[in-house]
Amino acid sequence: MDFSWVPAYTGLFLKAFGMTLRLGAIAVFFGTVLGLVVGILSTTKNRILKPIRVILKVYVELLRGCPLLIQLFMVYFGFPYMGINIDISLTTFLVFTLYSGAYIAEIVRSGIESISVGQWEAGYSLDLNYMQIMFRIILPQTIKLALSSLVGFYIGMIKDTSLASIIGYSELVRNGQSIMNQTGRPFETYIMVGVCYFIICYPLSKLVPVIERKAARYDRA
Amino acid sequence: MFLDWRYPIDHIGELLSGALLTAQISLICFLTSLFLGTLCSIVRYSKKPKVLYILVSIFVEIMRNTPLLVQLFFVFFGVPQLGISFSPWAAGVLVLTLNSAAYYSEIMRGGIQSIPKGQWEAADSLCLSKTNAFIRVIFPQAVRDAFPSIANQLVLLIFGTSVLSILDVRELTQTASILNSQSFRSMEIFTFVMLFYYAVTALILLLTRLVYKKWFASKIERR
Amino acid sequence: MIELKNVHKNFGKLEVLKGVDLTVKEGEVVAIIGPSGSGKSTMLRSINHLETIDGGEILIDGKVMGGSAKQIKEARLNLGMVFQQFNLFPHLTVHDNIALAPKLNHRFEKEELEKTIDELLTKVGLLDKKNNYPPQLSGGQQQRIAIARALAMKPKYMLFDEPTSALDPELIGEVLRVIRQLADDGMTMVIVTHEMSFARDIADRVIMIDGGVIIEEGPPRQIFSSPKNERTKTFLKSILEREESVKEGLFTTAGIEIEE
Repeated sequence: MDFSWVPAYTGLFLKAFGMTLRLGAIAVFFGTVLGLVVGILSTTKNRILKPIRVILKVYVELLRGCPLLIQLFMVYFGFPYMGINIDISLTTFLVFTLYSGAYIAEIVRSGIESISVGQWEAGYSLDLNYMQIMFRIILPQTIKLALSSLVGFYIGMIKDTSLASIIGYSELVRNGQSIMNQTGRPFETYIMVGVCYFIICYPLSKLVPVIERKAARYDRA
Repeated sequence: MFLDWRYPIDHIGELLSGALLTAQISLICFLTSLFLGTLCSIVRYSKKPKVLYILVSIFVEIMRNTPLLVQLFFVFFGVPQLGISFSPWAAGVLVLTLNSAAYYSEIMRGGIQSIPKGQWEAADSLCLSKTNAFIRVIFPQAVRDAFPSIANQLVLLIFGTSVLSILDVRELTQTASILNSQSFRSMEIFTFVMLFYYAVTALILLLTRLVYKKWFASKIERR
Repeated sequence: MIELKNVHKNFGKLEVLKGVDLTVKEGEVVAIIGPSGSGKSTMLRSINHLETIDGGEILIDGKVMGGSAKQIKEARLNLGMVFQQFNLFPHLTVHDNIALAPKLNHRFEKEELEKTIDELLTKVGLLDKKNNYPPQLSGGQQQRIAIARALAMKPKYMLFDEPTSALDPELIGEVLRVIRQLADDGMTMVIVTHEMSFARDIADRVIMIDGGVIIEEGPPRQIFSSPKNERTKTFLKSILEREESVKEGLFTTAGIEIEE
């Protein structure tokens, strides 16, 4: 085992790490926004909104029901085929945002629906309207409930960015492959790549139970 | 933009055999990783023997905090540097099994931890050995409690098989890629495959709910 | 014979048992009463080693309770335990709940076991529930099954840890009936309980524990009618006052047998 070459490649590792984090951050940020919107809309009971709810449900079910890689391939191969040409970065951002949006929408939706109906009743009886109840009463409680699931999902998202390497996005794994070819040392290369993911994911994973405990701090035992 | 939906149908044979391989790999990895994961969960739960606990914990944390793809490349490209080489299929099955086992370890550990202490005490006071207490009293209840998570992880496992398409494993995703490179009928092929996976997922979730209702819930309703 | 000699038990810095002595002879029914946190459950649970003690010793039939897992298990063969929370195995039928331990310990032949199970279920009045699952039964029924389950191992001594404290009031009577029947049959029993009238009725001896120390012990007549210790008096006053109100009909609860 020989790690002596690692310092020489630090720059490359850091750049690739940055690309991974960039993709992760975009997926997390935009995915959360998208997921919140879709999740909240999914819980409306309005009859007029029914067609939208159906479309959203199909979106969520489909994207949660098949592998991320298939979704990447679909956009990466399918779009040019249909005449839409966008660069790899944009493709990747798009797919990852839609993917995480679907999962987060489901987390948000089930969170909202698990808030007892009594909260809504209390809100309406206090003459608050839907928006006020949703944003001031329901959502804060939902976030509290769903926080640990969300963080868990975010950790998974960081790891899933590795799949972007398959369609050519230049993140850790993709650069790992070229480093492996240059140094001829795949064993050490992939250990280093793994370490990069580990130092982000492991601390975050230790954070999850802490969040759970803090979120439940004022709940009655 | 002419979508030729006949294309995937003409090649349904290849897609189905890809799907079959996906199913085979999933089944093997599921059963093996569930077994291995349960063993790990026992060690993680009881925290003894100390050395084994530390080793298992390191294993679990590494597998859960690094991507599947990296683990796959490590086994397929990295380990041969030390002299041990794997066929694509073997690397795939090995990595998927170990990866899934780490998750099942934590799932089962959570299940075991959720069993009230009184169950252990009752088993103890009835002179059941620790092994018998675990197998007959604790484990069945842990499986029942963890059932949704177990099914969910199975779905993730099936999705994980698609990553094996990177190596020379002719499962569903790779079959689709190959067909795609032959014909470039991307939209049709991948839509088909997407629906395939979705059907499998929906089926498993349906089965899960049925099994759950039949096996477990029926014992709870008050007569 | 069960003997506790100068038993001490700490939970961290808190000393829960501060030198407890107790002897239970065969055929005796001993009731243990006391306020919450007095250590009475801890004392009971240390008899069958569900709690480990930090000082003193516990002897079952002359042998020290403790040592290897095998030794503990052998001692436990003679000790049956009934828990406040019943602790039935919810995934097994009533029949399997009772049969599990004897089967795995090879206590009986197959036919003998089936006969024993039927006898025990008849004794507790639940033969018709043999194929039900515990969550389908009421609390009182579950506790009676739990008693049958403990009896299936044919123990010499039975330990009851507040057997009726988790039950709705109207279900307490059916469980007390079963326990009384056991006492009449001559079983050696140690019962931690809050049911004073019941204790007064079936116990040969009553032990009053407070603050980890036995502060009074004697026959029921003495403890309940003329307690010597001030703390015993205060404790009993608050409990018996409530039972008196029940008798006078200030609260209506059906099914509790309160006897003079």
